[in-house]
Amino acid sequence: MTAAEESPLLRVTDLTTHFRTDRGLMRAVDGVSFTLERGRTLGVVGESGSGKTVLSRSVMGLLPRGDVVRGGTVQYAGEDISALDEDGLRRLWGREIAMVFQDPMTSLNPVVRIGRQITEHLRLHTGASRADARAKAAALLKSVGIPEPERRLREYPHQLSGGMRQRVMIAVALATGPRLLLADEPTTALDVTVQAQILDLLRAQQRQRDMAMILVTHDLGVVAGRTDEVAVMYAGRVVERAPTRTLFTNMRMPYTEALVRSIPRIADPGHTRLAAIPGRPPDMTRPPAGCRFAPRCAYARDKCRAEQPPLRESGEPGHTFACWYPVGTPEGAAALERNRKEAS
Amino acid sequence: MLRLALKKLAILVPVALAVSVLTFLLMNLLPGDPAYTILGSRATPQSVAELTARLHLDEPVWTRYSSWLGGVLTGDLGQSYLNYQPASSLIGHALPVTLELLVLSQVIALALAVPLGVYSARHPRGWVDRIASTVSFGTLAMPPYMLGVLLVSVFSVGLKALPATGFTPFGDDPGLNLRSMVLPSLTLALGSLAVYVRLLRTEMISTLQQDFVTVARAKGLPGRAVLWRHTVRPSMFSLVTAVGINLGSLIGGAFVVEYIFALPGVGALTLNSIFQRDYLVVQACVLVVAVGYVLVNLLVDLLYPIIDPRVRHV
Repeated sequence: MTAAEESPLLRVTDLTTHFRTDRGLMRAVDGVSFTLERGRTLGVVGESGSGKTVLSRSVMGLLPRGDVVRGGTVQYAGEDISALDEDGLRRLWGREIAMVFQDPMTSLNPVVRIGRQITEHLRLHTGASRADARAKAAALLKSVGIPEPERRLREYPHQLSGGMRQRVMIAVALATGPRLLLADEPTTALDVTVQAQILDLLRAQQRQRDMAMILVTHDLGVVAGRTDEVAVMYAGRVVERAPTRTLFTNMRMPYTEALVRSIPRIADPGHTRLAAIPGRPPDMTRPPAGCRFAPRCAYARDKCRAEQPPLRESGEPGHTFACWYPVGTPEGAAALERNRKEAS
Repeated sequence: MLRLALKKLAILVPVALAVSVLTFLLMNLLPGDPAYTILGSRATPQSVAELTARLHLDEPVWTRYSSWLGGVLTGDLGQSYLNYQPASSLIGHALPVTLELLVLSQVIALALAVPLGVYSARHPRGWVDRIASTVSFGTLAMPPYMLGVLLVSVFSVGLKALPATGFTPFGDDPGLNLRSMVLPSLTLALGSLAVYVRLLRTEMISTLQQDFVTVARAKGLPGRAVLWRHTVRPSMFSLVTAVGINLGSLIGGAFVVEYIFALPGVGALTLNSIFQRDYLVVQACVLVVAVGYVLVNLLVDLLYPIIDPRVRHV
């Protein structure tokens, strides 16, 4: 076994992505570390503005030019790719690492036929002939559930519905057989009825191809049952990370708990108020000094507002979290109780 | 596609009719008449009256219009009062000059505007962008007669590199012909350049924000494919529209440039005929310009579905 095969597919260490803005340095991603093994799936969950989209782009190195300050390392199959320039990254983009974007309505070039959009990088990366690439594209469209693939190849994006277009985008991403797929809110812009189909399609393709996947979403319901592990992001940091089942049964971080509570439940009686999280994520040009969730947290004490909690082990395998007064512990319960008393 | 073309072509009839009626009436309102121009200042009232009768100028406007229209419908555009040449042959000589001027000017304008617009959009507020926008706004603000004279003083008088005026037909000597067309084409081109650069730059900057450009990068495509196929091509719509409008208006609007550089084009022919009250030649020129305008617009309309597939299915 070579070193490249021993090392995990993706190892992200202390990754930071800061943007220079008029209001100062915006800490979109602020020290994120994780590893992802081959063929495994990781869900990244957080509110809008938590930095999850920037995280997925940073992993790929797909950031706008200029005005970006990057730190930390991204190792892909043992190779540090965070130091590569765009020419170096282009070797990996589309071939090893592919991405499915949030909005299928704007992800396809309106003036280029579907067929060309699937085959252009396929031919570039594999050197396939025009006819071979076309046959492969038709097979791909069929495998993502598009009927009459030959006809669709000749069509333009505007002739397809949103769900169809996202299927096309998945076909585009899968065309070159990547080993890592980054799916950035792949169903947010779609009808609810189509969402589940697309997610199941992604899961099925991921398993069939033994491809690793990072599924970025704001919806905990999306990752449940579809990912091996979940990382919860808040204000540019991972605040809790666990195998998916552990996270739902044994969450430690109050933010995770708040996210879970904000999922509407069919079992609830009618007119139950949704437990929304009060307030908004902090301005990331001026993040709070202590725990970044403290201003919105029901458990928060003075220590939370002064000191940033480090990520620590919960004792269960693969479960880490960052909190001084964790959910489901005596300290957490006491903090909640004292806060309630002080408020009344 | 064919139905669209036929529908657009059908517009030609009312446009041509309206334009010709208006021109006839306007020319009629002008003081002076061709009889005086032809006979000169020492003409006797009797000879003027004779000539007026011979040219049918004593008849009422509507009679003259309907007989002119009858001629046009049978393919006769009338003839010059002054040298009895048929208007169609006068235009036949002038039109190629104007068309060459138009095509050359737009080729120069686009050859400069596309690289400038693309570069400016990729590096907004960079030095190329700043210089291009300053210079192009300067040329936009400058009227063509000034710009033309300025170019003449630099390239003809100063550098003695190009002829200031005069025209050699392409058939006689292509080299000389092109040399004589450089300055007039450049004068027209610089007038269009500013608009073209700005339009392409603005549309490209908004295209660059589009997800599909990021998708193209994420596919690992080389920079030039991302740029041309996925950025420039979807950013051509307003530029094509502007070129179309410009071509249409330049068919009859290159008057000043033709005049400055003494090019025997449609603009110069129209102007001279107006000065000499050569009614029927003016009439023929205006008709040709109007038809040309409609045809250019038709061409642009037919071009849209080619560059933007979304238009095809509306």
